[in-house]
Amino acid sequence: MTFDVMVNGRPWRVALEPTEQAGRVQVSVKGRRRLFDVSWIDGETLSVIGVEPPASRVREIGIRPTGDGELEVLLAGKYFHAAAVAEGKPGAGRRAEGGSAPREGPQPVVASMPGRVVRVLVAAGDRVSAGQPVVVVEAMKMENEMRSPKDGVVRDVNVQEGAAIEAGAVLVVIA
Amino acid sequence: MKKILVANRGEIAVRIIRTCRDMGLASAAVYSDCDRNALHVRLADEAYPIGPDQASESYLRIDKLIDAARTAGADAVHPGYGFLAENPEFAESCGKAGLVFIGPSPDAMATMGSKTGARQIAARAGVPVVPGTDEAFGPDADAARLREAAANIGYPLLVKAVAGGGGKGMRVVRGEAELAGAVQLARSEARSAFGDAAVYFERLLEKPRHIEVQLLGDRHGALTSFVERECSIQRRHQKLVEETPSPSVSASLRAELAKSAEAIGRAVGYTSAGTIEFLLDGSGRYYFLEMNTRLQVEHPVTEAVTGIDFVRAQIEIAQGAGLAEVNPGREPDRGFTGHAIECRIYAEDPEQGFLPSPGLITHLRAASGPGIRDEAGAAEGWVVPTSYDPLISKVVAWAPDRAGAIARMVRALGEYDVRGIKTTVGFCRWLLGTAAFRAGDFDTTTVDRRVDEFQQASGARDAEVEEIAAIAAALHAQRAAAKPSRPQRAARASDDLNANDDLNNDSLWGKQARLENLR
Repeated sequence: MTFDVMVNGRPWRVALEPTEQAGRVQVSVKGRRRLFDVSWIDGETLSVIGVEPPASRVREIGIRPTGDGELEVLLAGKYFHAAAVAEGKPGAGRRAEGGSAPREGPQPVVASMPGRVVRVLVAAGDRVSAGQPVVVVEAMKMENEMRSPKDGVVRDVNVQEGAAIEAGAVLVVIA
Repeated sequence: MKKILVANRGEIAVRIIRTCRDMGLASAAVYSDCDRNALHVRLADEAYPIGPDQASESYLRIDKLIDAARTAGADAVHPGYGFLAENPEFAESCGKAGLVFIGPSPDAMATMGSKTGARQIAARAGVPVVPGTDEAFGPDADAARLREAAANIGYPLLVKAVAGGGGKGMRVVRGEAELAGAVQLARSEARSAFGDAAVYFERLLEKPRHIEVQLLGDRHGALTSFVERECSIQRRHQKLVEETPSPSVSASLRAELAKSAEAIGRAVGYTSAGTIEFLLDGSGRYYFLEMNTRLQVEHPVTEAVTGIDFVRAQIEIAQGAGLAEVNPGREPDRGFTGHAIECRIYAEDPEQGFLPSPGLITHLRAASGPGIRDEAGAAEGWVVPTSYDPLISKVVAWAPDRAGAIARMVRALGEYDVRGIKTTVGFCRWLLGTAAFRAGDFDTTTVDRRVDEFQQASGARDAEVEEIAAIAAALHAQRAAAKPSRPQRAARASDDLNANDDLNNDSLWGKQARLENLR
């Protein structure tokens, strides 16, 4: 079975073929065929041993879906955003690109963490400059300033002081 | 003393409960609503609810803690660090309620707990202090007076909470334009963390090292100090890595620091465990910074090189034991063996500017093995709450020498598997691998200046590792493709294949059977 995989925005094509031997999988990437001993330690922990004489390298990988078909992969102390779909199916390449927000038009100031709004520093109609703090959010006992992404005018203020907010909440919109 | 109320949470509560058990004492934990399943509650003998998540309504409520101690029939209270640990009113309330407060006297705490008062004590004891304001500015101090005081000290300066600690209620100000905003932020943080909004100003020393000396005093007038701790590895005034001894302190400086620390401790008749913090400038001059009248987060490194259990020492001193009994005949210069390093594991995302990363810990395998101690307050399946400090664990490595301790720490951090939340594990591992750390060449500004290098290093592409990630993703997709389709999954019953999507669903036997099929 062949998969189109995106890892941190870069495409890979990975072909997996089962072998006679339990747990052994023939893996082909970029024309290179290798034998792996594959074992799931638990639903989110994958142990692979690259069976490649003279050294059979052991690697342990944390892997879990983060919703919308994406995977978070933890390997060698680093996190990767990945998505894999079977060859020929739509969707490969679209996901896990880490696409950036458009620079034009109204832009939201988004809470980067859950917490509590301790101060709202702007009101609708205020002129703000890029990097100017607009809302102060307290999380884990530290106050964090949420800043305007651009020069502009405050279009909406969606939160009040004292409000509990979730990560990803749109606090303010700058037009 | 038979039962101790542990008036704290998280890793330090766990730490205290463990020593209680070692000593055959019963422990009573307290918990807010969101801490019901916290490790400190699970490990305690008894536990008492003290209210909602907000610390101001639970862990900072003296009345509720005293009530819990009474209900428990506890005869002593250990405050840990943070929360009410340096609040003299709490220590006094314990005394009035007939509870032994395991810490210094309320008087010593009040004197040294005021950063401005402590500076005066140190100066009178002949110890150099960082230039700063002698007075504290309350919430109604007028802006003109603040500007004038700041101008007298000169920029850059630090706005610090009089009741501060742990980097909270502290802000750097580079010029007058930033002053008012910084004072407001510091005050607001100080009010919520310590219940006191007063601030003062201190000159910002350029590239200092942060060195501190642990003190232990008994209730009979004896006091001693221990080998210094190096705590310069900080990010925004929050310590991240500590070690002992300091690679930058000579034997003669060590003796001087010990003498100064002890002089300050004696000046206030200090009892229990406390810490004198110093700043060391580039030319080897040192200045008293502040005293922490409590157990320090990083006390385990000193434990590792001295063999002393400081929580036990605190309890024994509170029971009336003399120093000689809890600290047999140690001198600061020769009373330590080997080298110890501590890495603080915070629930923060170093790749996103250390933003808090609370949430469910889906996997946790702590570090262990030779020379490693893991002081965790978290466990797998626990949700790190947003309401408190993000410290979830401390990893401590000991070895006969510094290079050995670094090697063990790097090994331990490599093994430390924590998922579901982001942590500082990877950052610490990167940091310990840098040439500057290995050479002992760093100061309190190093981490803040070099965070970008970490970002670059973590953003750097390793095609080989990426290829493995791609293969893993494909293997995951192949496994998922073997799952039943969505409607069937909704009906799922005991189909443990959904374990990926539903953490509460875990039939290991079923999963194993399924794994066998996959092979």
